[in-house]
Amino acid sequence: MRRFTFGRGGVHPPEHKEASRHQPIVPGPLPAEMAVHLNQHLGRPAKALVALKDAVKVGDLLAEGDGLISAGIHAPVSGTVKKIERRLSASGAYENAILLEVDAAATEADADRFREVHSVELEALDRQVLLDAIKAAGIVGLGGATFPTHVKLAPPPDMPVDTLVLNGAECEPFLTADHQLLLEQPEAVLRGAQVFQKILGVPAVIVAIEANKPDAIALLEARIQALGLKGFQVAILKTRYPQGGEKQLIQALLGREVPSGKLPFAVGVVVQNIATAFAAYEAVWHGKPVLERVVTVTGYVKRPGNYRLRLGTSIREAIEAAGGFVDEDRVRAVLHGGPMMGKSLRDLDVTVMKGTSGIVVLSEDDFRYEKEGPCIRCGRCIAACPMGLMPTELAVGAQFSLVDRLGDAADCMECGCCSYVCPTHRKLVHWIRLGKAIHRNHARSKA
Amino acid sequence: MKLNLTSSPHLHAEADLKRVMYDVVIALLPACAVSVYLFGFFTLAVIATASAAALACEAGVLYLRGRRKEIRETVFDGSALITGILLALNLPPAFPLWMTAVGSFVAIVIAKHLFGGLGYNLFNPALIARVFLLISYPVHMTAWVAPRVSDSVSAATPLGLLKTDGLAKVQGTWSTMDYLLGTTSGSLGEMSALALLLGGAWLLYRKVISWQIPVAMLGTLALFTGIFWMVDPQKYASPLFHILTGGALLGALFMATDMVTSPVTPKGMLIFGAGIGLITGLIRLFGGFPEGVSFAILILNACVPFIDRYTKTRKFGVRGVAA
Repeated sequence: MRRFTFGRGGVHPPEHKEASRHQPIVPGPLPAEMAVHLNQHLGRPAKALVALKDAVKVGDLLAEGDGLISAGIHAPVSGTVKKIERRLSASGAYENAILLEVDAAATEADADRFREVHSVELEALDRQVLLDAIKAAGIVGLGGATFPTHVKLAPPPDMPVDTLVLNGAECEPFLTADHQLLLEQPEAVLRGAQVFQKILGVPAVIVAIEANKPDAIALLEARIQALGLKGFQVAILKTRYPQGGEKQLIQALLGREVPSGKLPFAVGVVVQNIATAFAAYEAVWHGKPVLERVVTVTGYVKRPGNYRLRLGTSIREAIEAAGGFVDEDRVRAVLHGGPMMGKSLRDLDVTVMKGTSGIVVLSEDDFRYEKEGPCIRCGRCIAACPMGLMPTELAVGAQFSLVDRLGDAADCMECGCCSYVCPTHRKLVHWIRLGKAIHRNHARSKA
Repeated sequence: MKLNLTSSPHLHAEADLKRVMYDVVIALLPACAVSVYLFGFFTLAVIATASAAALACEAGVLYLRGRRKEIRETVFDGSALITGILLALNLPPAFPLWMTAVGSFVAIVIAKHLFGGLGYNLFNPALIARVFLLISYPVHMTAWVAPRVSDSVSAATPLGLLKTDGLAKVQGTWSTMDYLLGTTSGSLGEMSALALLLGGAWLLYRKVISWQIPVAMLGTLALFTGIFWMVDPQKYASPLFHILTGGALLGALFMATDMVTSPVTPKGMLIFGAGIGLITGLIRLFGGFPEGVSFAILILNACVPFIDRYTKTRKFGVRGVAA
């Protein structure tokens, strides 16, 4: 069978998925205190609706979306608002957060209402009703980019969409959360995709899964047939990083290149992640907003696996849920996200957010810090760049603040392929990130 | 527990500078072995002197540049060693050792470090040294000897003989098999085409070099010399002769492919290789010197910033957009 893949660049790092692959999704802990950040999505942070000492119930709206590109935040637990303060978040910046004191018994009781299944006649529902349900549930792209889903489902009128892609590539090493969700909840994921299909009014839905998940591919094919879903098909992707990058995925499946600086709307496509589709199912069939998510906690922990963690659970508690570190003295780094694009954390008290796809602990065996050498002009970064950029030139532009050489920096998605292959360990992504900021600031100062 | 804060990505491919460099050293071993077999153990002394002098100069320059802490690491990263070996392979068999050491000095100190060191030199250091020696010691640099004889018997190189005595004489002296095995005469590293191809295959297999430069260079050389050969096969040598003799293979596989001094994009590499092939052909057929690979590579080295500028990659999403 044909294996789809993107045109150029890319790498195939060791997958490291064995440890958590096929580990059933286990509910995470119910902490005594949770810090729920207001900036869990791309766009403007949500506006807090609660005040100190307010009592809240699971699923209550804590903060509402502010402006066009934003999303609401709901209470993951029942309890009391203890504090509203600026706190270190997993993004590395200090951001506003609502600190909740958890009432365990009430949380358990109040969560009951999300367990029952509503009878839903998708055909009979108006697309606007569904779109409102998505927005009300605070759903954002759970693959990690956290773009508000209701915005992504509302293409501008001059850009008709003909294809919905369900992104099950999960190309980051170590991560298995989407894979496991597909295996445990195939029907729910497909129902969520049907919601997106209905809202967009598109005929074709492609469920794209990397070839390293053959069981998920077979299962989804069978369920699509069993449910008789119209327009749905499964596409097998070659296992190659960054296959799950939105632009790469669209090019691999449909041969369409999203123009530089444009959204997938421009080529008539909307891409949604597996976990996002599952959240849409929960929103429509259970009336449940985004309160928790599946997170792969893996690497140097005793019980690597896939955990369903409430938003606001600290990374420390998540690691404890996974049995804790194998040997704390040998831990060198804790990553928020996968090893290619994730951020290293300096404080384990930061909390799980909507964009937390994985927590990866690296021991001294896996962690390497190599000193940066000079560029030997080998061109490997250029060959590896899936965006057709010249990373070494952008890095030089950033290092010496050569603004006119940084025009292409904005096209970089920071996938990390360039740094991954660099034989002299140049921190190319790091420099390009700086280059983006230099270019942005320069453009702003000129405006 | 100490949490390190590092920028993503947090994984790295296995290939690092050292591995890349020592792959090149490995690839040069067949050619070195052939030269020792053909010309005796003195060639080993030439290779050893060139390498040791290159390493010593590298250490000395790093010391003077105040980079003392990294001397041990940098000296043995393999890059200076490659320069030394390549220089030796560009010298005649009985070349005086002290002149060899001078060559290493020119390569490392002048051609490499005065331009900024690893990654910053514009010209291939070994070739700069070769041309320096050719100008400074022209007699020694063209003192060719016949292989596999106990007393050094002077013998012209195939390209030299072609220039002085014409094609008929060359064809009466050697066959294609001689070029493949190396039983002709010439610099240490340009003897056996088979040994060079073996090393080149290793570099391609290990992805240290890509096919563009060698193919473009040898293809253009073959095309250029082939045109003249087809017009007058009595006077002009065949394209195969031009590929198998002189420094063509050594240059195409090991010198022109030097990463630091060649373009960074596949398109640029094709242009670069083609330019070298063309200039080599021009010098061999119409120039004053019998051989022109070194000059051709150095001239194209100078064009690299220019080539890079006009052969940028196509950015994703700027052309070929569907409806």
